[in-house]
Amino acid sequence: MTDITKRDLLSHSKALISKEYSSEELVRAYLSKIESENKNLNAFITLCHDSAIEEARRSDARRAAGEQLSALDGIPIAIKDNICTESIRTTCASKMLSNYIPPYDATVITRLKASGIITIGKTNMDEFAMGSTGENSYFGTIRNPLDKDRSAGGSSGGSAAAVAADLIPAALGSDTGGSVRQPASFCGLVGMKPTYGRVSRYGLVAFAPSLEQIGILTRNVKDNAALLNVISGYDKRDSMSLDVPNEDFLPQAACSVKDIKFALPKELLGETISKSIKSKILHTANLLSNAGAQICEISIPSFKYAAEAYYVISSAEASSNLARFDGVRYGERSEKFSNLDELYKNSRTESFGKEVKRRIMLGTFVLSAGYRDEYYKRAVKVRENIKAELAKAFELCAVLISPTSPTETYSLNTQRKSAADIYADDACTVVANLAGLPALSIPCGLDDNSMPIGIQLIGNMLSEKQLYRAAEEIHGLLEVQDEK
Amino acid sequence: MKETIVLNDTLCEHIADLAKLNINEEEKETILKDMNDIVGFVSSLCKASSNCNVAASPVSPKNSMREDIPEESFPRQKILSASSSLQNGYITVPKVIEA
Repeated sequence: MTDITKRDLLSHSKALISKEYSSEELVRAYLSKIESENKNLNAFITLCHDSAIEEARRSDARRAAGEQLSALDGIPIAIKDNICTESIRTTCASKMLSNYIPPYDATVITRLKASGIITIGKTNMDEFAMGSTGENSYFGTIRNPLDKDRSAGGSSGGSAAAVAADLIPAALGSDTGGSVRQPASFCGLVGMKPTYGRVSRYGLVAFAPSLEQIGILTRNVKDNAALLNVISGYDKRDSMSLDVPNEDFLPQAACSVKDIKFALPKELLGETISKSIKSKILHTANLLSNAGAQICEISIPSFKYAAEAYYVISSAEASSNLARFDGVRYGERSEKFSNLDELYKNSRTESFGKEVKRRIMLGTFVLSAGYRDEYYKRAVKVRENIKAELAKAFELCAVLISPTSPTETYSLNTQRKSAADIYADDACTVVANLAGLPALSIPCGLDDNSMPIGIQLIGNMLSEKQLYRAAEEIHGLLEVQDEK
Repeated sequence: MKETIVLNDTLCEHIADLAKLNINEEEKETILKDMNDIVGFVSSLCKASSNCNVAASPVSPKNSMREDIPEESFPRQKILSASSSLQNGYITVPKVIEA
């Protein structure tokens, strides 16, 4: 048999239906590859060897019994380690939760199980989803399979590295400020952050609840849409879950780019964007224009303050949400304390990493008496501005185009940028989280280091299907161009 | 809005106390520098103006109360098993109210 690990999700679906191979053979092939290659990438924290094989055998038994199965029954995927999986360690890549075993499944896991999809392992990430480089994990740095001296991005770096290395056909991540899209961009993948409320957050360990969504990393658009079909939908256990009709996100009908109006926000194509990235984005826009698409330049002035507003709001929410980690009900408890205050402080200080402490400090500061009006309230007002300006923009166009990341893939082990400089690099992605809009990153070429560049498409609320269709068309245009 | 707030030792210690974190003397200089860099970065928010109402969420919040029908709870032992310090079905902590 040829190397089946290189096949995509929907190809596996066809192969299992035609009995070209079994689910157990498929899972064993991925397990073998992960066991051999993970040490070079550090993409996984926990491998569910026995349970994955057990679930694969059950899938094969269901198929042999002629049961009605979902299209993805028997296919393994990986799960970012901030999504709760019952009886499977869920660490958030933190010492604080290094031995935490959740007593329940996140809603997305329940839905995956109902479709027969198998959890093969939990992927590495930046601690508590705070970081953009994959270097903030208690379990060590994640490496980009395309160049192991480079970052796979963050915070869903492990999920991205695993899919890009063909260790798994798809993975779930979480996206608070770009943490699915930026790793997708760095690793040459498709990464979707759905509309806020589209996918239940029940069981996603909270970092910034008003910003985050569980997202999907795959090698192509169709796989991404097929998984969104499984995990999306109303959930009463998420108070912000959108009660909207279920959709089939798979782009079925052919779509012409002439039917979609695109716009380029000039604030996301300014001086902070690297030359090679800007040139690829503008080249893609030209391809669209030559194919008959309408493209215009627009201005969204409040985008100038998006990264600042994001870091104030997300850190404020993080400082509140991580207050629960106090060494009492779960998580690591310090052995050194003589009173309750010392229990809290010593447990937290010993078990949180540097970046997490930094964000908690920033969040505590911007919410503290005397500073809340100047920082937090102002950031929330900027957020409202961004929402209003985007609503106006979507009266003129259907899809915004921008780079996913303003910089090329980070090198590891070199002189690091300051924390503030790395925060500024999230300027392109945070806008979608602040406004609650769906956004997708797809590859659009290579930079001067031969590393992938991602182009970001942002749509209006609940427009994932249109984004997938636009992405398929753009991919088609880029493929035609590459063949020439 | 002040354009640049400079965090000093006292403010930093106060923030750390609120956040229930310890900062030792060796770390203090690095943390202060980091915090001042980051606060400097976000301080450009002072240039943004807005007449909009403050809203904390991208969607309008609504009450999401479930029906008042008793449902099965998590088994107590399952919840307690996550804690490292148990006694007779309780989680133990140091004295909460000092004499």
